[in-house]
Amino acid sequence: MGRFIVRRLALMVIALWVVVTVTFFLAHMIPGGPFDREKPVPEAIKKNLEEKYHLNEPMWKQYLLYLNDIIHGDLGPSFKYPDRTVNDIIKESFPVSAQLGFWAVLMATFVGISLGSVSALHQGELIDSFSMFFAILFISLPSFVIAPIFQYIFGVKLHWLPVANWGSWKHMILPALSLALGPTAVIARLTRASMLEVLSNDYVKAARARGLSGLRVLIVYALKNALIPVVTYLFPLIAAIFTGSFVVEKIFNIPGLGRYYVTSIYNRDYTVILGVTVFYAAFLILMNLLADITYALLDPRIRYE
Amino acid sequence: MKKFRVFLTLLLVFGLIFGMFVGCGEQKQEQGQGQEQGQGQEQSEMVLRYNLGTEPETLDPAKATGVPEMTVMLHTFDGLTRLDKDGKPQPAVAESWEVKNDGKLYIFHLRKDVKWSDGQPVTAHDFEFAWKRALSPEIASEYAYQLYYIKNGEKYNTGEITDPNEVGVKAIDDYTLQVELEQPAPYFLSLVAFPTLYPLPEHVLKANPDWPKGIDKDPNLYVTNGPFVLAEWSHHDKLVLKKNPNYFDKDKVKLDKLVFYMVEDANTAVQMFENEEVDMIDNIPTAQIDQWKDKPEFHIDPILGTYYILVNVGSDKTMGGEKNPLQDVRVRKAIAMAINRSVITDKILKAGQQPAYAFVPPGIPDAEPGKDFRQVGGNYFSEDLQKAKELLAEAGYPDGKGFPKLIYLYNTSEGHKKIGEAIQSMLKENLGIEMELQNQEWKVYLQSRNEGQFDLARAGWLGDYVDPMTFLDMFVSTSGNNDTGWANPQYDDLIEKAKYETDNAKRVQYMHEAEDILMQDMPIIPLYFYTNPRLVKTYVKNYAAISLGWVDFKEAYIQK
Repeated sequence: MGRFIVRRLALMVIALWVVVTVTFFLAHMIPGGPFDREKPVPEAIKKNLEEKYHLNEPMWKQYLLYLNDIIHGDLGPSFKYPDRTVNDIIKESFPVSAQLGFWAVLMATFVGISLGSVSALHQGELIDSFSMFFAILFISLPSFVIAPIFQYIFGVKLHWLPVANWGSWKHMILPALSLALGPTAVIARLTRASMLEVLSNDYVKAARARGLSGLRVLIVYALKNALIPVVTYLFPLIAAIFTGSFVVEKIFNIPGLGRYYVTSIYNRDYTVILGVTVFYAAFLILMNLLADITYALLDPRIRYE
Repeated sequence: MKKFRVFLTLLLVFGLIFGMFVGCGEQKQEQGQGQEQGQGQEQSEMVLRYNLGTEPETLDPAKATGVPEMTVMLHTFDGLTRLDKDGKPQPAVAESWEVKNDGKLYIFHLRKDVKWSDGQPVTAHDFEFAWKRALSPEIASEYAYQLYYIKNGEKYNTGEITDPNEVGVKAIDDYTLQVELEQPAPYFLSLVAFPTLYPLPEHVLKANPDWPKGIDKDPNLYVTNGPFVLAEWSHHDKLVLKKNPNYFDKDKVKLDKLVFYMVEDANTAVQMFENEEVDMIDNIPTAQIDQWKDKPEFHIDPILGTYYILVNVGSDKTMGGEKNPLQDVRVRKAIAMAINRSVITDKILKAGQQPAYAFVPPGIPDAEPGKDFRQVGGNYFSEDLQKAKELLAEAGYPDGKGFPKLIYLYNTSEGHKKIGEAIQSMLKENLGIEMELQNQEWKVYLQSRNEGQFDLARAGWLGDYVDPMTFLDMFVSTSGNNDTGWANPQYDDLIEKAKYETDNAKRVQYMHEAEDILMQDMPIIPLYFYTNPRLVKTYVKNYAAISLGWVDFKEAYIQK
């Protein structure tokens, strides 16, 4: 297993290098630059800006300069926010996204697994149909539809929770909920399907036949194996929630990293585009690695060399 | 079971890692709690909450370019003058001034009681230092051209001269600032109220050359001289200003705290307003205007701006490769006269916008006090379908026959799309002209405009200062802002003459004549003059809505 991990980490470095290179050249290929404004900047001033940020040098040179910086851990200054560095931006906003993501994942996992298990155990009954109906509903409704509805109901109408912004536990509830609903539904359906498959297996029937209680059978025998597909979905889900939180962050005005991911492209903020993309790529690759390791640990049939 | 235990352990480890992030968040929450509370929670502390709408790019007066940045700095700084609610410059740091040499020499006498927030006195040296810094090529300030009025300002900024001492701003002594101009600028007193010309604390910048880097972590580093000081800056979240105890005019300041939110989603902002989480917002989504129009919270504030159509006059061919009919002035006039502007202002925008039949908006004084430039200039044309059809026929396209399809370019936005669609249907119905809508992402759109990759393009212009020149000098043939390809030497000449004219009446006359030419040739088709609709809680009093788009809370207060 150890060698397996080392090899995967080495591959990760190569993958990240490819990501940096492709992103760099793609970002520079889009028309428009960071300093294009409706009131165009006079030529001389534009020259000053370009010199300052090395934008007037040949593309390959800019690329190598950037690569050199990134190896030393310096992701550069932001073009749009000249008094902040990309390192600072990530350091300050990623924990916010992580917090939001953590609660969303937690909610999705617990509620999803419970709901899915209950549905599987009572297959065909009312509770099963109900749960699965809501599951389909929440998978289909996008977060930018759900979020304003929540804001309206729980904020404007009931005054229970603040409509937007960040800073107290109250501010976390609606955004985490909006973010969690879709994944909850997916996990519920996944758990249910997987659980049904496991419950029909001989060893479960045998355990029941030997007189073990329903709950014990569920947790010790069925759940562990039913969760294997769920766990492997979980890690990419974590990555997806973190990177896809842009819409929820924008609607609730949460100072997370997701927004920078999208707005940096609009702003042609090259350093932020690259820094955030590389960061997320590394995160995604790590999550996939963790998924594979967990999968191997859970399922004795899997062996990596 | 062993595997299960391993899995549990992994889950725990995972949980711990995230717990760390949660922990980091907890501390911030403690700080966040107290400041969030709105009115009445902080023992009679008067707090006003305003939605800035977006994160300020920087709080360095030399580098700021947008309204959000300038709104914040308006409250933390005072320039030589400060604009009042009518947009007129009033003495601020400068208590008096002398204008000599036919408007080319200004001598400002500064007050002796203005202090920086760290207690140090504000002197003329702070102005000289700040202006030279804004002009220095290293700073690469985008608004450096606001200082090109100053002698050798442009030359120093472009590197033609390298000695900053040759720039025409000099502190004669601690409280006297002498400014030499390249040409007389009657609105210079308004210009010195502009953020790029704010003073900077020389002693702080010498000690911190990277200033204002780090003010988000240490707000005390942001040493300023205005009615408020920076208390907290949480990026993309909020900015908190508190009353400056060292401010020379502090008796006029009634608010204890200003909270600026940065909510970009306009619908969320309205929800916050309804839920009492914010006291004032700009930028009301048009879909919501109907339900607010008749409420006392709905304010229509003035803003100097014109929404117009750019016509590509410079290209011989249209985007579709056919002969460009827009090069014929009769075609341009026909289009201008065939658009029913009230459909746009009353049905789509609904915030009191006025149809425009000229380019310079109302709200700018004319030569005679009490008169308005637009009022004196009047309307240059009217909507006349009959005449429009005649002109089009004269140009060789009766009823639009043989008229090539035109591309109308706009930057992606629901609002611009609706306006484009309205114009498209009007031109088809009234003149038989086919127009295709094309939207591009903002920066791509700017580039396309710049490169002439359009037939018609939507555009808007907001004034930088309260004078017709900020609108008219856009269309001289050498201006980078002139995307039409139109060049008229008479126009260029009149603008040049106006820039150097010391007699204000003559100067304004030149500008009227220039606008005459612009509207006769019509390389741009004006549609409407902007307004600035806002939602303001009824307990917010005495804020100044400055027609450059800013709002000034210096003397505002809450009355519940």
